[in-house]
Amino acid sequence: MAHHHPVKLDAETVGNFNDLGEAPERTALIVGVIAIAASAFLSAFSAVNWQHFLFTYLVNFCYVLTFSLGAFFFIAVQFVIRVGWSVVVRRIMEVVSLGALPCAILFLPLLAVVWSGYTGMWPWNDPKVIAENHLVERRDDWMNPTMFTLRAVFYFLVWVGMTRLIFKKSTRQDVTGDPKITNQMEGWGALCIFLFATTATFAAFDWIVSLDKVWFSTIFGVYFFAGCLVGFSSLTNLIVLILLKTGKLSPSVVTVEHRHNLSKIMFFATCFWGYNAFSQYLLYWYANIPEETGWFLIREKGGWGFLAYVLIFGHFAIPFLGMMSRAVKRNANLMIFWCCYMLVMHWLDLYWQIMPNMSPDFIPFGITEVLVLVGMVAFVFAGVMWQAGGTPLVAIKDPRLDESIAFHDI
Amino acid sequence: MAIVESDEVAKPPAAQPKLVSVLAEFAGPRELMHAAEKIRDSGFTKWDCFTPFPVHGIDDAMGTKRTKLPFIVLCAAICGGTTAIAMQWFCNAYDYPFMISGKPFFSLPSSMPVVFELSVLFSAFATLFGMLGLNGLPQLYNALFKVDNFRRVTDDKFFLGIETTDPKFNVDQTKTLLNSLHPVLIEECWDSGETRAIPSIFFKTLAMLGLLAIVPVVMVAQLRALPSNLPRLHGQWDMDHQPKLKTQKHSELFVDGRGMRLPIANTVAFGELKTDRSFYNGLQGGAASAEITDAMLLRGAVAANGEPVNNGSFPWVTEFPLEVDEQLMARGRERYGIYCAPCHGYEGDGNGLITQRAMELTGNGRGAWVKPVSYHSDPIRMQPVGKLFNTVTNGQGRMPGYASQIPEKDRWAIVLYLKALMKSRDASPDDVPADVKERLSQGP
Repeated sequence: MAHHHPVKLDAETVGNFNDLGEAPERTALIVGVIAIAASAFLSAFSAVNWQHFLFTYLVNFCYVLTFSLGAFFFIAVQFVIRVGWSVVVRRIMEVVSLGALPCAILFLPLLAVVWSGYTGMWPWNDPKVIAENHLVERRDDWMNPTMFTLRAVFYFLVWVGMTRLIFKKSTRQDVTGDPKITNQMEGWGALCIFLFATTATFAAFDWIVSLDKVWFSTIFGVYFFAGCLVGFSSLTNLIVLILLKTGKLSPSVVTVEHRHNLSKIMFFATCFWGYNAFSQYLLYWYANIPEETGWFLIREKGGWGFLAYVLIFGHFAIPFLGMMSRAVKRNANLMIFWCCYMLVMHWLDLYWQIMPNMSPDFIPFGITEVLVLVGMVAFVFAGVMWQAGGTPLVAIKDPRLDESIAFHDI
Repeated sequence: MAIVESDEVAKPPAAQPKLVSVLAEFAGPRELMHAAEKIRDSGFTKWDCFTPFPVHGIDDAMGTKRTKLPFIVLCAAICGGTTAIAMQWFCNAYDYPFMISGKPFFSLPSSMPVVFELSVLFSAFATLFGMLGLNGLPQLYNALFKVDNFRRVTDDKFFLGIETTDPKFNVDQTKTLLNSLHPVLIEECWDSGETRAIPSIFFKTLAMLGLLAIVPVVMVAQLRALPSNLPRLHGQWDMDHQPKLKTQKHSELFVDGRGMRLPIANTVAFGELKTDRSFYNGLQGGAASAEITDAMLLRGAVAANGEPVNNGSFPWVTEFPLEVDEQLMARGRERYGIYCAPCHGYEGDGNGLITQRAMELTGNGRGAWVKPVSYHSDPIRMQPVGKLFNTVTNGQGRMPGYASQIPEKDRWAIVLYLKALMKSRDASPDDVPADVKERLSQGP
């Protein structure tokens, strides 16, 4: 708006990530490593427990990774379509996307699992399964430890490289205020969207779909992407709301209008997830082809079936109606609830996708899940905070900052 | 919006000019916004702002309440979703249930796309018509249209108008108030009082179009009701003539010109590996039937030397190659009624309805029909079950084979029922179980 007075922000007034606590990353790192190591130790004494631990590890690895990927994609979109309103919250998204680096470290044990010849996880790693299933024989050139590793290296090169690049450029602008950086990021953003679409899709095939020896779903990449958006938007919104509550962010910089828009993205992500999850189900249900329906068959029986209903209602119907109202989206306390709620639902969604391949008959939930989840979240948090350091909470010299602060929702 | 309401008062005969509202023009959006805040705080209710483009924050400045439209849209969406479910259930499961590939008549997953689409459609309509309704649109006339300066409101002018119907309105006081807000100018908006009635030509045209609209309907109704020698009209040409292959049709796509494809060489489709000769051919397996090819089993098969094949000496099975039970018998009886009884009759005497009618026509010299042999004759009665099975499968004499219509298990069920039919005319008292015999001997 023309009559709005430009707000001048500087590094002192907006605060930075170091203000959030006394070296939280060291505590988090210790907690993370201990929790993961403890659950690994507790599970190491029987083959079943060990398999359970590895699957749990994969679930939680995907969980923490989706936040980073969703943020990565969303920031790229902000650059490409020159979004003005999101500038005041973009730094937080950038920091969330930095989770790619700690996730790359967390992926190393999974690579070790593949190279050790462990057959209890990905069936393509088992020569016996390949020999007995003609349907999967042809996948041998694509699904083998070497190719798997090469692809994973490529994914992480893209994710870590690009999120670091965006963060570096953005923080340099904090100092120089150079508007050229914003123009450059438009080009980088376009490349990032393309790279994100390719890598996230194939990563989902590699890590989640290939847990089943014959199942395939061309839409799964989009399903995974929808999950990324759900996770990222809920987490970002939650961080913003908590920073506002604790006074680390000023409500005159991140206003109710920005919160409203962040909540709209959550609402959109929920609908998008429901749309994709249902599209995938509908086609398999309709075609009714054995090698395709098998995946759903084990997921709609017993405890998994119950969880499927929890997802239909809990991940879609309830939040769809719950977050629909404008008043709810603008209410900070209610949205804190919905953010936490959606974060739980997103975890259950990944659990439901991955776990039945290990335990088709019952839900094996136990202390392992809790320990690994706590460990991974703490580890990624430590990695992110270590990278963020003394960066300001807001991109203080972005050329669109005034536009963003003045943003007014219709 | 609010200005519309003053229109209702006018009556055609009293052509008295009447003051409708007082307009104030402002230099720009900021001045207008400022003025709106003042008018809002003065407690006026029937007034409006007019701008060439949407102005951010004008709603708050005017104290406008949020629209009820979202609730209307929500209700319409729920209504659309419910309609979709109800419609699909009514059409597919209630009014005209049609079995397709054994799928359920109604199921939720397949209904969802239509639920989604109708929800969106109803929402879109509710949004458009709700918006029009809440704004009192369309509006063919408004006194503002007659104010010359007001025309530029769509280009670069900013107006604020207070209506005379507002309870707080008083010409002098209102003008003073508006003047205190530093307008560019103040103007009065007069309603000339001319008739506001819609010209009658409008209704005449509407009536004419309405009448014309009946013509195609009547033509369609006539064509439907009367017989005609003309070829059928294809309302949807590409639906009646779809570029798809139908059974037994020629195709340019394939080198051999066949539309239907043969199985790929050296492959066997799922469930088509028919190696059990006794079950699939009614022949004893192994060396006994090794020389007998499928061609030799066909109706009217001819051997290499030109002689007809006599299958009476083939090593037919004499026992049923599947488990015989009550259920199979019931199935055989049912299938017999469908496929066999029309010619052979329900009792197997060879006088089914078709035979009766055909014999009548043959008697009149209008056709040739060979009456089916009665099952209750020794040559048939003595046949092993395997041969009966082959007759059902490949036909015999004038009778065609039923292999394509009836699956193997059902053919055996029919053979089982045939044996029961034969037994019904060829039983001795010794065949009756003791308890039944006792019951029969006691009489009614």
